[in-house]
Amino acid sequence: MQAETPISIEEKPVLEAQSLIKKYRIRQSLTNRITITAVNGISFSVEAGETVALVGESGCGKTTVGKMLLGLLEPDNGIVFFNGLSLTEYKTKLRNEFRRGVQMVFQNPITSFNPMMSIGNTLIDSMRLRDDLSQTEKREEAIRLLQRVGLDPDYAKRRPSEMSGGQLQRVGVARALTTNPKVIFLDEPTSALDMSMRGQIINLLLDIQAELGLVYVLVSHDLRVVRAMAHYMLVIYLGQVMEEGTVEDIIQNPLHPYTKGLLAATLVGHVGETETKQRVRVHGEVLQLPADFHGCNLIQRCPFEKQRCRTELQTLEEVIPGRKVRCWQALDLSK
Amino acid sequence: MSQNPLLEIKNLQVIIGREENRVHAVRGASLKINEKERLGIIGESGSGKTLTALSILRLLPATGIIKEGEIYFQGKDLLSLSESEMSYIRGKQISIVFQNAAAALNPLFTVGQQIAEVYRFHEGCSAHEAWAKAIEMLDATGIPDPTRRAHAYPNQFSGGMAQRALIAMALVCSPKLLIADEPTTGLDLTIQAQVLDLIKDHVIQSCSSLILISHDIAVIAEVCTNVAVMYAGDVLEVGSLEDVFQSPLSPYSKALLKCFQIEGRGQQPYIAGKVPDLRFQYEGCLFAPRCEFAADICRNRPVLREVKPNHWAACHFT
Repeated sequence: MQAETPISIEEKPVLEAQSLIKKYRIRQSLTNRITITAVNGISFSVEAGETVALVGESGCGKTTVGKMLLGLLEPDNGIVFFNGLSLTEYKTKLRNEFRRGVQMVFQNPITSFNPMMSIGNTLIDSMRLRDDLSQTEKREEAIRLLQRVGLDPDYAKRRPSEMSGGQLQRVGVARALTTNPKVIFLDEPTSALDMSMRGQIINLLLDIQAELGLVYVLVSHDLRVVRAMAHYMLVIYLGQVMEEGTVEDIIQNPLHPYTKGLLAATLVGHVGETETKQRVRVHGEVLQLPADFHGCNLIQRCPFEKQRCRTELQTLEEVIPGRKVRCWQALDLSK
Repeated sequence: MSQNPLLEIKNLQVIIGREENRVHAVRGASLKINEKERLGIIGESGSGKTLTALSILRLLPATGIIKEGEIYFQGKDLLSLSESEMSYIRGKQISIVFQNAAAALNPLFTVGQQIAEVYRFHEGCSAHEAWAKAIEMLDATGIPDPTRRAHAYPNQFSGGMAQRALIAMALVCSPKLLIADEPTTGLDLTIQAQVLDLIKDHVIQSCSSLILISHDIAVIAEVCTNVAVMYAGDVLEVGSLEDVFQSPLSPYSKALLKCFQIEGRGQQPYIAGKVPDLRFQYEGCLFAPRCEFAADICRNRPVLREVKPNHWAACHFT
């Protein structure tokens, strides 16, 4: 992890994002268009076998980051590196290699499958990039993957409508594995599942990661899932990283008021522990800040707001080793 | 529990769907809620918690029927009331906040009109007074600039604000019982916390009771005083929040609570097997096929009994 140990030559990160910026022009009225910075300078890197979690609410830019990592969206600024090569290099000559290397598991298993296609054909179809396999081998591979994710080979004949959400999400994982990827982007992989099933999918993903040394980029707003799966997390608000560090550090001792607010709104760990240590409430809703605003993004929502927050641009500082926080009061507030 | 509960549900059975898709969604659920109590109903999808709540207000979808059971509200049998008597109870005595606020509001009327309509129907006041009350309620539920916002249409509201407006509508006649059906699903975490605070504060202030339905233990732990655990249409455990969450009796509650305890990165607990197919009838305990303690005795359906004072469970082994 970049924040903790400087990268040596042999430990190159599998996936690296360098100060990604993406702006959207959106139309407010017929004549008035405004620019919104959806992602404002997000950087991170992940090594093989590790999971980085992007945590934030809707509109914070996590989907935009995801699209840029998957090469579906061109960043306005910044570079994505995969296996040491930038995405622009892959675009020109090694396009298919990149597409094989980076896969995705979608949020809602029910809507992310073709209802007319059997499960087996869905898996075979997503092996189009595997030019190393013949049609029979693809069929065998599909069966092997179904078994790998804990499903009976008979399921290959079924249609998505004949399966439960939990089973379909297993197929979703199998589909992501068809191309032997290095990186899997997990977009809220368990949020559509029942509590009693959630653990099964998490365990499956953890097993597969340990076996194949995959990199996971996990997007979730559920801090319990993040705690169960991720090593490192970035808390994002309005396109900016508010706090980043290892998951256990942040959950044990959140430093940014926004992170404190998110944690106070979830029960992480023991059930029945109804008194959360710090009841920090972030008030109001996400505000669209004017373009000429130079202060903290959490303005008007933060319970600890001071005059200085309005006028001073906040930077992401390493306040304690391995932990970066975008708040000048971070250390005072944690006392 | 005290002698005179505010609401009592006895052996409720609800069937929903047509022909081969006919599902016995609620299978003999019994619940009680006292005044000033905040009861959380927890259960996974398909456990019948929403249909139980809708049965109280007799708002079941067209294919749903109450096959058996009794529902008493302040000693009155709700199931024997006429439709017009029922409409005086809905909104006035018992209100509901639905899951998807944006879909629950009428897109053709302004938010203010919809709140005022409820108030005017029940209180019989002038349109002017009702409008003033609507603005007051919007203000009380934390909507900024309520005078202007009352003129807005639901599509001009964000998800969190629509949920606040729906709560304002539910509370406008100060009901004795508020039912909130997954009121925060689909909302962001910070907004979710705000909406839960809002519901809790209003219920405490107005000394009314609350039934909060959720699949999330965190939501219930935040708001409720009592908990009922539902599984496959049956109530498996009822008790105070502390009793149920700290010393659960039923194996299902134990297993479910474990699924929420995440101590760190690594393998997580889960409940093996799957929910029974509710199209069929079962003799024994509904959880038995997934239960690690299941034995021969579980072929008989356990009844909900008071195992410890005010802590009820439906299991032979408690």
